[in-house]
Amino acid sequence: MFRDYLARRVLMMVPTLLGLSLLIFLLSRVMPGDPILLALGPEARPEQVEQLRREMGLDRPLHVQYLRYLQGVLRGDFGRSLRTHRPVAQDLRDFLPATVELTSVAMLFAILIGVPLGVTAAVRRDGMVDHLSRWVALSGVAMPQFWLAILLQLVFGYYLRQLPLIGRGSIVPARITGLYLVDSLVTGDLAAFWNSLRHLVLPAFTLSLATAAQIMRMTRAGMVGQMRRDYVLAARSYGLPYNLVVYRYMLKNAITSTLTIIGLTYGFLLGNCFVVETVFAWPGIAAYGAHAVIYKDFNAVVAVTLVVGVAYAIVNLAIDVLYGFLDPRVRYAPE
Amino acid sequence: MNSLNAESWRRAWYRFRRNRLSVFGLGLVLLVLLAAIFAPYLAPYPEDAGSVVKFAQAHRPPCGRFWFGTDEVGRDILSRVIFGSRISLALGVLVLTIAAGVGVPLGLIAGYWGGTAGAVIMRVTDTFLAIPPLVLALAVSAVLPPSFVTTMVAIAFAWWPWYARLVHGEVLSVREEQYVQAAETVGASRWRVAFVEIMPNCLAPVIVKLTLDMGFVILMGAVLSFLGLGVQPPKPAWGTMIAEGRVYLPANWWGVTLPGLAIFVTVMGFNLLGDGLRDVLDVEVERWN
Amino acid sequence: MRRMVVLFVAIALATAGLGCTRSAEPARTEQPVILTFVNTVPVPAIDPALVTDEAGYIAVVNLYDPLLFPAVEEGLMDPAPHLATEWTVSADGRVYRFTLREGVKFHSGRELTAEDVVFSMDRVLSLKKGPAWMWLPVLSPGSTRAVDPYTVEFHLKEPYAPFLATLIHLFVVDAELIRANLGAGDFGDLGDYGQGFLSANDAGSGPYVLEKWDREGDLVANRFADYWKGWRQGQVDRFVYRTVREEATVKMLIKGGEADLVGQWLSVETYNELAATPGLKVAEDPTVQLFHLPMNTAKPPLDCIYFRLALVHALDYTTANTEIFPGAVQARGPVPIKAAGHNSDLAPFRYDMAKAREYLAKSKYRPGEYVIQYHFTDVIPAQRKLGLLLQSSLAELGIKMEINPTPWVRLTELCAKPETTPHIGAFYYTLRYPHPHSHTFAMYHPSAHGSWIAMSWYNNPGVTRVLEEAVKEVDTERQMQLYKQAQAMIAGDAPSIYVNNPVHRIAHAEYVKGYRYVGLIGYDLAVYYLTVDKQ
Repeated sequence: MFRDYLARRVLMMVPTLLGLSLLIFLLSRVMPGDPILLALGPEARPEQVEQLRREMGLDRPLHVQYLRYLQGVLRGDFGRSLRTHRPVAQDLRDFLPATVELTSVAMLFAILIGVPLGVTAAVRRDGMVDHLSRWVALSGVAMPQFWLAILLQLVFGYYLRQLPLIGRGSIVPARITGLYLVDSLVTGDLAAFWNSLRHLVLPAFTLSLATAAQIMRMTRAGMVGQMRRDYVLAARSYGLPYNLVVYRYMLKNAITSTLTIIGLTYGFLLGNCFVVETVFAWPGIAAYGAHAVIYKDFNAVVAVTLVVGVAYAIVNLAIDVLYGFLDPRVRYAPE
Repeated sequence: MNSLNAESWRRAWYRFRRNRLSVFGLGLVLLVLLAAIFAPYLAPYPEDAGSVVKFAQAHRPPCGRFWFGTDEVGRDILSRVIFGSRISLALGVLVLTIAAGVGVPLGLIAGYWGGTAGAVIMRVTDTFLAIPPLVLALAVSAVLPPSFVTTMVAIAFAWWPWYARLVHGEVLSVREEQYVQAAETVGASRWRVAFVEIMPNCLAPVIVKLTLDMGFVILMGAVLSFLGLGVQPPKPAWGTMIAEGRVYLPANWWGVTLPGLAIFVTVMGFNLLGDGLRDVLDVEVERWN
Repeated sequence: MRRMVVLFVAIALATAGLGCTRSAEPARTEQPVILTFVNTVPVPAIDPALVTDEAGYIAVVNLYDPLLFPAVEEGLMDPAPHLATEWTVSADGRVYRFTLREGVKFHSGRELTAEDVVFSMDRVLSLKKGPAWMWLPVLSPGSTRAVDPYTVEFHLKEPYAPFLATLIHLFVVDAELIRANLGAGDFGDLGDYGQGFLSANDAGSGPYVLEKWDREGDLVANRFADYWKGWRQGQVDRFVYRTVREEATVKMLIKGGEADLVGQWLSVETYNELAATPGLKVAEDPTVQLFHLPMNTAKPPLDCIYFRLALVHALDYTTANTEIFPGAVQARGPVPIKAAGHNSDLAPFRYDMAKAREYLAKSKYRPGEYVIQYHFTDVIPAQRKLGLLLQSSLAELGIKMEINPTPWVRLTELCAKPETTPHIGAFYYTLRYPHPHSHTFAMYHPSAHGSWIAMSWYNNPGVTRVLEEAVKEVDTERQMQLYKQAQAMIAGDAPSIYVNNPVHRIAHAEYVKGYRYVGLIGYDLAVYYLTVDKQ
């Protein structure tokens, strides 16, 4: 049964991804600048232009062009970057792991901050933690992330000199996945691990704050909802330890709503990544994308948008699957 | 349940007033609104919002003459922040007018008409929602030259689907209500049913979402201008002021502090107000964009 | 809770699958002397046939050897022996014969010979980019000949006064290495002439070997053990050129000891702050550099000389040169005041709004007819301030000007065509070689069009003729007379707003010794001449 559910979920992704590719294709076609001249450079001769135009099929109807474009994308061909003069696909390979690492750690931070705070706020309603965390949540959402990033950089990187200002660190572990934390652990390179971790703290924390705020609110709401349930009263009247009830039973039931939020806020996180990576000069695809936008490097803009869309879809798929895994009722729900 | 008549408004206001946070939010929003309306009278040096340079007084720290210091060419930061509220509010209002103007009718049509048109609309909507809005707005900004209009178009382009989806859901839930069916049986046209009978019932969640979104749109506008894709100098956009003031950190801390606070206060105000409205109007609105 | 961990790992793995694997581990050496140079502007190219700007030249000067090297150790700009040890010039001034140093090794281990010099020159001439404008008027592929492995001859079409001086820009590439790494391209047997290979690798004999270059990120180069000049105690083992766009971060990096040297594009406020920081030094030198606002004379309304003259009179030079560029000397025409061949009879432009209005009235364009686009390098705050200054006085004239922060490399690319070239740009133009040719021909001769250096798209047949005549003139005095005449003609046409010859500032840690301002592009940062003494 679970396999059917999984298959259905994956299939449901297909139309979204097709729509996504169509949207981005259309966007790339309205972008100024002749794609031919972009590919050949300003000194191209007219006959060269004409030949490439035919080769690339730009004289064909739009739907044919779209199919060709889709073929290219499936082969990983996004054209060349105007800014780096390399195939965009190669740039993505180089820059993607940094972003994956940053967003994953940020999400971990968000969960580690959001869930306990949410639980505590719910358990001690209207207590100090509840009030404090409400303000933290409100601020986390309302604070411009680039501003927060600059302030944190100033305080921890400059005045306190505790954490690096920018970048991913110069101690690079041997590349296996491109995720420095994973690679350094696998190769047992502790110096690289520690160095990477120190570089990650500020950007990941900045990025996590808004998401932590959302997770906290949702966990709190879920927990408050659970508190009124009969089983909680029953368990407590049996004299089960309170912490056991809270963490073992209530949280498990409340966590499904938290999961939904993780999926939804992941898009928010990816968006904010563009600012956080820029401020911290983090060599990921978001900073690459932001530079590409400023530079008007269209092939790169298109590719980054597509990759972010796909990553967002994959994460939401993973969440859906997990949701079904945690809550069997979901698997049987009619579509 | 969401019908909006005078009595229910009165009750809502009564409940709204009892929540101190919501009133605080309303206060913040009014503050920003007043600053925007009366900017020329409130700003100590209104000319500083425009094309002037006063190098003799550049980089002054906060003092009696310049409460929040001056910037790299000697313009009063307080005056510029006050005028900046106009840009932010105008951006929010225009973006949301476009987004709701496009999204609400589309959601209504998709929900009430249904059929192929409805399915196509919702597919397109889902596609737009598959890309985080900031990323989509960035991609659109790449196509256009940096300006206020670009920012507006880029954000609106990413924002309308949220309204289409919201209204679509609302319509589905009221479509089978008695008063809708009654209107249909007396022979009211589809358009009339959709826009006169159904739409007013979707208004409450739309209003709540509009309020919550004001903050997010202003935030996103600030991000775009911070990255240099928004309004052009010398216009005092808050995000641009932070980007320019950042050069002189850490010594000149005032250059980024006040514009950042302005964004923070404005967004916070609209969020609190929106939360308050949601509670009193008793509607479910997701806010995870 | 355990399931949350499972979730996290699942997310990480799912998305990590998109990243590919590649392994390359640079060997870690023991206690090398590292010099980290931080600049706000990235290195756009490392191919000696393509570089046009300071950042590119910094890379090239350290990775390659030029035929001649300015006499930096004597504090002079004049070309001195380097790869070439001696030379003779024929009586008619058309044949230059150079004797090459023996035993110079490329990074590949091969010995550098005359063939490589020929290949390098022909490559520049064929690609017609970067420094090609220096030689295209007098040389073409084939006019450089290898007489024997250590003798090379240049056969010029006509006598060419600055020829010797230009050879500090002839960086010699390893011909065999490039022939072994040709890509597909337009150059027949030579394919892409190695452009693909040299966009990611070096093929030089210079003191440093490229380890890696992440565009817009780090360029890392390590000491070349077999460098022909040999190595002394304290010289730099590892040179890192790090691009950090944010000035505030650059400032924090050098104050925190994470940078040893920072570049010349920061704001004066920053240099003042750094000068007051213990352990740091700011070197200030009056320059032979021009800071100007070239105007696109191919685009309305700036194709009208009266409109340009109006703009020229609308800039407050005093404020610009005291508040924005403290210590700068107002420019008099294109050639920097301290450079050879400067015409000191030229009057500087004056700030005179009445005059500006007068010229505007004579122009065929109305003030509000076009919105003027001003583009500046986004990471250089002084250029933004200057834009605001100009904008405020243009507003008084009823001219609307928009200020566009543009990434440096994109700005240079916009200037490749007259349609995309902005109305006004903000550019520093550093001396290429000590000869007035450098600040006239490259900026205003039509054959140089298409480069950001010539973004005015200026084309005055009279000036073109004088410049061509000057180049051929063998009599030095008469030649300088011609260059002075050209400067006067150019300044009269106002293709640029000549703002100033600014002060060159650079900040470094006190333990970095041997820094000397040379004034020739890129040569200030010939890392071989620096030492690090951290005691």
